[in-house]
Amino acid sequence: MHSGKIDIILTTDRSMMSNHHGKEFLGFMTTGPPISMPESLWMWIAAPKMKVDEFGRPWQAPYALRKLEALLIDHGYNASVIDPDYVDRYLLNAKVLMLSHHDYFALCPPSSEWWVITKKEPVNARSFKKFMNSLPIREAKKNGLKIIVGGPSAWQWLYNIDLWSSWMVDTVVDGEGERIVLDLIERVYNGEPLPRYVFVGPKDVPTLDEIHPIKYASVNGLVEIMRGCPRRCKFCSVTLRALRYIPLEKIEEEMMVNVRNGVKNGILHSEDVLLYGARGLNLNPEALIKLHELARKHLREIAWSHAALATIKNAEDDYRLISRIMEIVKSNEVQNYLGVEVGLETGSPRLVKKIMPAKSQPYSPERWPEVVEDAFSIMHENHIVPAATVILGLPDETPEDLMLTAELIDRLNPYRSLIVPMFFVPMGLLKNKDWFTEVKVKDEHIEVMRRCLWHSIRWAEDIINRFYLKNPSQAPLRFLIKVFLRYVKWKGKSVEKSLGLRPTEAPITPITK
Amino acid sequence: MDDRIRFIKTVKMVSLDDDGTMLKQRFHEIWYVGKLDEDGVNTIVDQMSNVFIKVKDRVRLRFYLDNQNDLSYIASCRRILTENIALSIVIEDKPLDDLKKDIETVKDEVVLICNKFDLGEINNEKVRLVEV
Repeated sequence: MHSGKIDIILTTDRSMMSNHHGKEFLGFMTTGPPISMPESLWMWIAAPKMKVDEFGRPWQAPYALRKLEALLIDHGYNASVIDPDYVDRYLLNAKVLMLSHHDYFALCPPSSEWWVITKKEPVNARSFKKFMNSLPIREAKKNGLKIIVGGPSAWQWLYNIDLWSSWMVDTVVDGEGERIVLDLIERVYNGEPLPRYVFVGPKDVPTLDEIHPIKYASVNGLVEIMRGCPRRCKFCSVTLRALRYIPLEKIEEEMMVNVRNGVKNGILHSEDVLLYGARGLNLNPEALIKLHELARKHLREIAWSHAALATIKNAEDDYRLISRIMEIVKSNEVQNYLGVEVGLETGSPRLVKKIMPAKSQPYSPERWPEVVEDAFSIMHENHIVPAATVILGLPDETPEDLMLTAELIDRLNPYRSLIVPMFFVPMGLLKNKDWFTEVKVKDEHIEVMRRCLWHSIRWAEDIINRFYLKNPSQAPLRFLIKVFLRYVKWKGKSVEKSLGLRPTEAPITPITK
Repeated sequence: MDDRIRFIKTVKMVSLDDDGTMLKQRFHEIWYVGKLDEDGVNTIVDQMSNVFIKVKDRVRLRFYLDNQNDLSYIASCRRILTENIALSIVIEDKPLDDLKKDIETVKDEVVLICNKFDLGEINNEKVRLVEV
């Protein structure tokens, strides 16, 4: 760094290189196109710039980039995460440009869904393309630059070969990078050819010793507590990887890195936080209590990335674990709620049995609607605020399945939450550049979608005012979000009117607590 | 689904051979030359199924191209890549001019898939030819 040269640049575009005002959930706005306001304002709300140091290194960066940065530095490479606005300072003299993204081309849900509904490309993809087109790639290539891309949406490059070619990407890596990245870098340094594409299969995922702790702050203090998931839902690729629990000492080390760098809050990342330390699906209360005591010791506010509804119910019914954890979470008298993403997916026991039978365990798939309702009730009682996803358009889905989902959403009205529908997009459709015009939205889908809409609008203001953006300093942001919500309400009513739909009859008597 | 679960259950977390990075491990080699059409892709899939059955874990797919700037072959392989969950896969390409020398010098077993391409004589018993 002192020479002003970086050999290996790790970066991504603004939609990802942002801490979203310290509010992770606001980052979801990057999955949509700008609505009711200019794109610049939308991006300011969803993905504002962060402070950088004199070298253009961002205060916080996506966790995956930080992991690879740490791995490379520990192996003696001159590597650094650089803010996208400063990459061109180093690119012409760099050996490698490494990129990562959640959703390069807006093909994942919910981006793909907003694209289907609005027919406009979401800002995450627009931002990434703008970033890549701004770089002097051709010039840098003449100096030998190699470009390696990865991340959870690496597969999307298979549907964008034209951009792969025009941006002269050398290698696409799909999967956990620890065991392949050093190989690729070595080849670059030795002047050897790089493979075009690498898929890291289950045998090549790293062991715990091969996973290096981060050296600089991650976005909103995210730290992983485990990798993999034992549930084996058919729609999920993460479940295919070996299950590994990160030891508490390593989790603590990463929390301390974030805190030392001024990131006082943290997000515990897992596909199901409550499975930390579990044996199969048998929970480990001791491990979870220790984990949260550790988090409470170091962090001002704690969030979970994901939790399964069945685990939430099981944890409270069998161990009173949700109540006990929330006692720990609230014990600093600063934090009064905990946010998490959960998978509701469907209200149809038939579909549960078909595509995700393990997701309802230890309860039978037939009990899934009851599991969902009980889990929502437990979360509401304990001030856990979920953002729940529902999947529409699953293969073999029937109108009956969708009506059961709509009915379940009606029963969830008393519970503070956001419910967001996601469209299942068959990969075969993505070959067509106009794929989003071919997704068929049925009347039954609309019934589910508008229930999600009105449920979420009903609760959004409560969540924003009482929990999410309650500080006076957040007033401008709160105002803008409320303007957006008003627009969405107006638009929702006008769309319903144009479709000849009556307002939904769900009771509007939330349990206030 | 059941096959996938059975496979996952047998995978153990072990340290790697050699010095512990992926590309230095042993790969089942499948090379391809000639037209990459639907039949060609199906032949690749068949060969990869054999790899899976033999419980090897890694496949290197190498394409010999007369124009390495043309990445359309990757689009042709998309089905293979998006449906694979069990194997580590590496895809690379080399100039067509390198094929003859590579056939002569390869020391490990290789499956060479040939589709509407005149290979001439192959004098290396390590190379198993599969015509599409």
